[in-house]
Amino acid sequence: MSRRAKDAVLGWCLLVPSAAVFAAFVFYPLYRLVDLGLHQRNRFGTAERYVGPSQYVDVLTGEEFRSGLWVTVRFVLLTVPIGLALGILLAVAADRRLRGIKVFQTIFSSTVASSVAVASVIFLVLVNPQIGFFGDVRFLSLAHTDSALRGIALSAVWANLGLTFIIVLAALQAVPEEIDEAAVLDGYGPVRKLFRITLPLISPTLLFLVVVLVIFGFQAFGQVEILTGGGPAGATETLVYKIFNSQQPLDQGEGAVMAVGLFGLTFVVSLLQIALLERRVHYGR
Amino acid sequence: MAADAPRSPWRRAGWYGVLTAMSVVVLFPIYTTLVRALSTPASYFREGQPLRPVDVQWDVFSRAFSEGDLGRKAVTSAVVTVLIVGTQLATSVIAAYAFAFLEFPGRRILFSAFMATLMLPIEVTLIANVQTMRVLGWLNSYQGLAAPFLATAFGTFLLRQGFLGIPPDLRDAATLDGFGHLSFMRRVALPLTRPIVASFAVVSFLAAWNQYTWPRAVVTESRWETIQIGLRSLSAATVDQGNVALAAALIAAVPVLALLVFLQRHLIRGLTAGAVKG
Amino acid sequence: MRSPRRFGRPLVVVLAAAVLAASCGGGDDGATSPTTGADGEVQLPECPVDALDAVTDPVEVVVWHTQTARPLETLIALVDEYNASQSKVRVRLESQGASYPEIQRKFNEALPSKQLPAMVVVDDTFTQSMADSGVVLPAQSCFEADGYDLDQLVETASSYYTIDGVLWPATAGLGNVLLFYNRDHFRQAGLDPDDPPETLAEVREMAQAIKAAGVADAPFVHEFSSWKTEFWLTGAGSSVVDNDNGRGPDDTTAGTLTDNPEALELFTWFEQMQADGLLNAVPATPGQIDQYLAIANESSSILIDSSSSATSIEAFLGGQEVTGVEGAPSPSGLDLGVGTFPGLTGPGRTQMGGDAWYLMSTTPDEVQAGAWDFMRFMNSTHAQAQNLLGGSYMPWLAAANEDPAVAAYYAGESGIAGAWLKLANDLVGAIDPDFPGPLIGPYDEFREAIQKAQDGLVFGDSSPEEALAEAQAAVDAALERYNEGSF
Repeated sequence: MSRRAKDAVLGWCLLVPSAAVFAAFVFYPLYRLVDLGLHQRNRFGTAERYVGPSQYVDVLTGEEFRSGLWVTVRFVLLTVPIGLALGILLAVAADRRLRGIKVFQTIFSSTVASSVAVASVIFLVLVNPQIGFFGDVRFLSLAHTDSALRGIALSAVWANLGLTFIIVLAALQAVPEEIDEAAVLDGYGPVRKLFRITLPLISPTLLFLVVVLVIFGFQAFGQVEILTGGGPAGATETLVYKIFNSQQPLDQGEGAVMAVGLFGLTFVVSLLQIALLERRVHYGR
Repeated sequence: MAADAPRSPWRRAGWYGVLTAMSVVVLFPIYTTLVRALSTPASYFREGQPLRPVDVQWDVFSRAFSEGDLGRKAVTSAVVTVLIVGTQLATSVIAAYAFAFLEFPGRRILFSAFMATLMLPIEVTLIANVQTMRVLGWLNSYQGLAAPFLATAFGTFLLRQGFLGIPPDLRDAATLDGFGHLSFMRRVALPLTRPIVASFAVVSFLAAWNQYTWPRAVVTESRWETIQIGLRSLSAATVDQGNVALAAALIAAVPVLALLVFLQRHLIRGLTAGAVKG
Repeated sequence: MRSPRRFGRPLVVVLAAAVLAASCGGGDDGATSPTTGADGEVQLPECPVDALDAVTDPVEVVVWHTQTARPLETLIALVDEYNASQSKVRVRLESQGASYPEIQRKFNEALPSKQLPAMVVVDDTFTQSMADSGVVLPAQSCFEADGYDLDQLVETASSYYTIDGVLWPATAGLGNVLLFYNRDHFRQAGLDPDDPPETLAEVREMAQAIKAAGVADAPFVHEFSSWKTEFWLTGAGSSVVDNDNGRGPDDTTAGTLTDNPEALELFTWFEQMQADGLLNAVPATPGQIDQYLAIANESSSILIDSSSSATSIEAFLGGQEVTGVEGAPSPSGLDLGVGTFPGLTGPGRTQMGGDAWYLMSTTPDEVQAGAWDFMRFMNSTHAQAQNLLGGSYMPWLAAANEDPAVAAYYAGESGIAGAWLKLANDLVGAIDPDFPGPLIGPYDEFREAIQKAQDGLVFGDSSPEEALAEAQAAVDAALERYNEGSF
């Protein structure tokens, strides 16, 4: 066998383990989901019938999916802009040569250690309406349908602070000294420098961060389960929460359609990211 | 591009003030958690929820350990995490190697397919994957907990970037010296990309240890719960002793906090790779 | 897929039974559903009570449950006691979360693959769907195999859990509802602290007095689980579904929530209380205890909630060292009083509540036998008494109520919770055995419908009529789907 042929075979072989995992746990499930979405099962899982694409139309335009979608989108809108802004604030503040700055940097990164479960249990006692520290802050109340999502969003914003801080700080530190010095020489004050020079320079990173935070937001589940159980009155049921609770035979068809819908959403966002980044690459350089 | 230290001591003090205030805000939730974990719940409410512990119960941490069976759950989490990280490293390294150094038909398409898996997180494929686990009898098992995560496109991407950064001359020199792929990988590629591999391992550990949704879906027996899921059941089961669950939450965060403190560089590099150019 | 009810011509019946047995869950397990033979007599599947005799290694019996707090501690103690008392059976408890809807989901999810434990403890509403699921061994056959006289059980309980002469759960902890109120608040508002409200109208009056006296801002705290609403309706004699509240001979096909004066009255009462600022509404999130906390921190004065939390409340308020003198202040400083259930029209009429233990027929015979042996223990006077003393579940074994320890407990001699539970037990005894509560196949969907409707009323902006109409539509759809059965 020629060298090229050997290389080719080796190439495929090295991909097999990953490919096998992906085939079994990513692509096959996608196919299964699409198939499940075309069927309905009875309560005891003993019978199944084909209902066809009409189930897709019914579910995707139906109340469950629309409310789940709205809650999910609203959650993303509540967590991403504020999270990003706070991360930038912390990073800008901590990006200076001061004695002991590393301590502050470690503190600001610390929330990256909190998992969804840990952050939710912690915030449960902070925003719980009866016993929480901020329990009687109506704006964040977990007991009211309009504010419950905000209470959950607060826990997510806090939990994401560490990650956001770390990434923005790294981006800031990668900006060359010369640019900074040039800006100062040109008479830019600190605020103007931040908005006119610094942020635009790190915008690819910010964009990447936005996409990461948005995708995290789409996956919101644990926080909802621990903090509100989807309530009050289903006001905090995100798409993943609904999907997770649609595993009974009776709900599987609907759940599968919603999962496919969520995939579509993630797909669109990813495409947007690729498109936007491509443009940056072409114009930015 | 760190800002220079301010000349005037007043401004310096001002910045320390600002940074301290920010730290207080960031650490506040953890502080109150610690306070409440140590306090006796009924007394704590009676005193109007102050900022210091009330009627301290020092044994709350050991109680959390025993009531929440945290020892076993930590072991389960640890086993699953090591399984995932170890296997992810293996599968990602070889896949990245193939994409970086080998030519084979369909390379472009396969790479796109790999990257496409990033759009199908476990949350989307949950229902179908749980069914698969039921059929395989893998509910409540290490393999059930780890299987969907044994390979990752993120790791493949990251390590491929690292491999692509190796100067082509080194590659040519190695070929001339008669190195086969295995030798090249062991003696040149991996040592050169060690920082990236280490960073990936750290980030992978973080993600695996903190997982919630998949373990929640695949575990129905309490003895198979990971520590994260255990937090939820504990907080429900001890709803009349709120401090126990809080103590458990603090315990659950310790391994990753340790990671942050001791492996900070690796963690940061792993998180920022791909995010920050240059 | 209901047990055949009609006793028509023999051939039709035999054919129908055969078809139904084949189509009801799990064709190969048709033997686990009671069938009606040609002579109209019900054939029960066999309970393998002797399967333990041949066993040498201990048999593991897994029990799924959702207990928390004190009831959980009590259950663990009972299981430990049973395991230590013999060597053939090892019972292992598996918590499936903190709420009944969650264990219901887990159960439903496991159904198709039949990956079920030996026993499942669910709430009291599961009876019909358990009967229809095809995976449950009706306890009736085990009781009969043991020659057990079912008259030993509390009448309202056995009538509630019996369908067509077949008793389904192997044991049941009875629960009911209690009124908790802050006697200090009553005193401060000029109300008699020994005279708790007995109707909803009185609750409203007293709440108004308390609010007017500036003692509490929203005196009546209520966690909006749907079961409480069912208690009010059943207590007032109001059916929530057709076919005689589900217990009649026909198929249950529709809800009866619209055109239901009691339902409308109740929902309007909720709305009014909220509009007048008298209501501290707590959403029904699983695993939370906010309504108790509102009483504990005295932001509210009156609570109507489950009797099974009595021992937990007692412990939480630090009342463990309290002398049994009723009305004596507990160490937490809270002077808590307890009253009977204030109904729509009168006091003390409720519905059956609590939990029910079902035997799965999908496990090997030895496991079923082991589970039944455990049930013999749980049905003993001792265990039934313990379940009351530690877990707040009232016994379904009538004799347990006469046990000296229990009698002393009810007299309040070992803690105030005892006197509280005496009240709850009286409520259980006062349930009308002919109207103990609805029997609905898709009860979980029914509850969800009521839940959503209430949530829309209290946390949203639906009117009582709108909320009830929405609930009705959901219930009708659920019943239709259930009756469609296998397609």
